[in-house]
Amino acid sequence: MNEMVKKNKPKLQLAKILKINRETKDTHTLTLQLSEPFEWALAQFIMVQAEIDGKSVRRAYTISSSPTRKNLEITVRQTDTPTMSKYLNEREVGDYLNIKGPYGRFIWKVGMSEKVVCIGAGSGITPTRAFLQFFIDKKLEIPIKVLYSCSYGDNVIFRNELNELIDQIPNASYSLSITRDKMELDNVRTGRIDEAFMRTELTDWKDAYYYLCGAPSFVNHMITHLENIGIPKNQIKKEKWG
Amino acid sequence: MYLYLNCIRNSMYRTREKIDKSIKILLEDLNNIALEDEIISDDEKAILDKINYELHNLQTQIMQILESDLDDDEFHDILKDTLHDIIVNVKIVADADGKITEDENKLLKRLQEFISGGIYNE
Ligand SMILES: Cc1cc2nc3c(=O)[nH]c(=O)nc-3n(C[C@H](O)[C@H](O)[C@H](O)COP(=O)(O)OP(=O)(O)OC[C@H]3O[C@@H](n4cnc5c(N)ncnc54)[C@H](O)[C@@H]3O)c2cc1C
Repeated sequence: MNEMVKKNKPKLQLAKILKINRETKDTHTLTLQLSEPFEWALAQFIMVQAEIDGKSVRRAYTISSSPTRKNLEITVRQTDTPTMSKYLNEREVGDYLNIKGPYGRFIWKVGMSEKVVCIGAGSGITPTRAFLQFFIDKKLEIPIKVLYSCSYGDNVIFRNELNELIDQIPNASYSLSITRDKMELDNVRTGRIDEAFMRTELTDWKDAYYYLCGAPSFVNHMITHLENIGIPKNQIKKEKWG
Repeated sequence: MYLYLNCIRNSMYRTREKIDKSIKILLEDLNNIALEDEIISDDEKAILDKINYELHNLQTQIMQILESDLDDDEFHDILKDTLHDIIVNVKIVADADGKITEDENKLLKRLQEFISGGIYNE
């Protein structure tokens, strides 16, 4: 559990960048030290505020580390026409960020479901990492399945880490789908996560809690597929960006 | 302020349509204010362009957040901060030449009213 945590209304505060981990050519994980530590729940997000080119900019970032970990982390993919994402990816260890949070009710707690399925695309994998860390730290044996879709192999965020995390959870499985590259690698399929794939993958997962994250079009497609294979709406949670 | 708090607690206003509509009305209103003397000066145009840009940006950002699972207090906390940024950013443009004219001030006042109203009570 994070040390010295306070449960308060979100307040703007400074957070020091303790570490920067390069995940892909355009994605970095920033490890932050909060000046006023707070408790966060799985998959909540923070708002980051900065002065960029003389103007105030504010953007949301999912907390990519589990609440069971000491430090809050965010994982930022730089977009094609970036503002904040470029600013964040240019920061250095020791720099400070203005942050406010945590926000969001997009949360899962032990006891909410007997199984969990995380489906993410692109940077929408950030909350899944927090889920997996949480399962490890809490020694949960609840089955968890991760379906991750990326356009190119080079864009896979947490490539090794996801495998390492999955290996530490007794009932976890992971499938990576690459949509635009031909990859001849173990455990990597090519093609989109479509309804046929979901039907086979999710036969025994009808009572799971589904957690979807990614671009709006991806998430909307996933919702349609899940509904078509009989997953009730109230078992589906979603977060969309991009 | 009271009206603002009242509105922001009313979740029925938290829809894409309502926000789009409020912003559209504001932009029309600002244009009319700028046209009161039948001339849109360069300074007014710079402010209008900036407001347009900022509100467009607000729409993109807020729409993403709007669809998140947030309670209304959280949503309005973020909205309030984002709207505050708009005022700050537009004032920078208005003050670029070191003075804010009466016409520019009218636009800023209208924007401020809109923002204090929590963008919904248009
Ligand atoms: C609840 C929530 C959680 C989020 N969590 C994360 C996260 O964990 N990691 C992360 O990298 N981003 C996350 N985002 C997206 C983030 O808030 C920004 O939108 C993103 O970093 C782009 O901001 P920017 O200022 O660089 O670009 P902007 O100046 O805002 O946008 C530039 C252009 O890029 C497009 N765009 C915006 N976001 C994306 C995107 N994610 N992918 C592709 N194109 C985009 C916009 O439509 C726009 O045309 C989250 C968004 C929300 C609402």
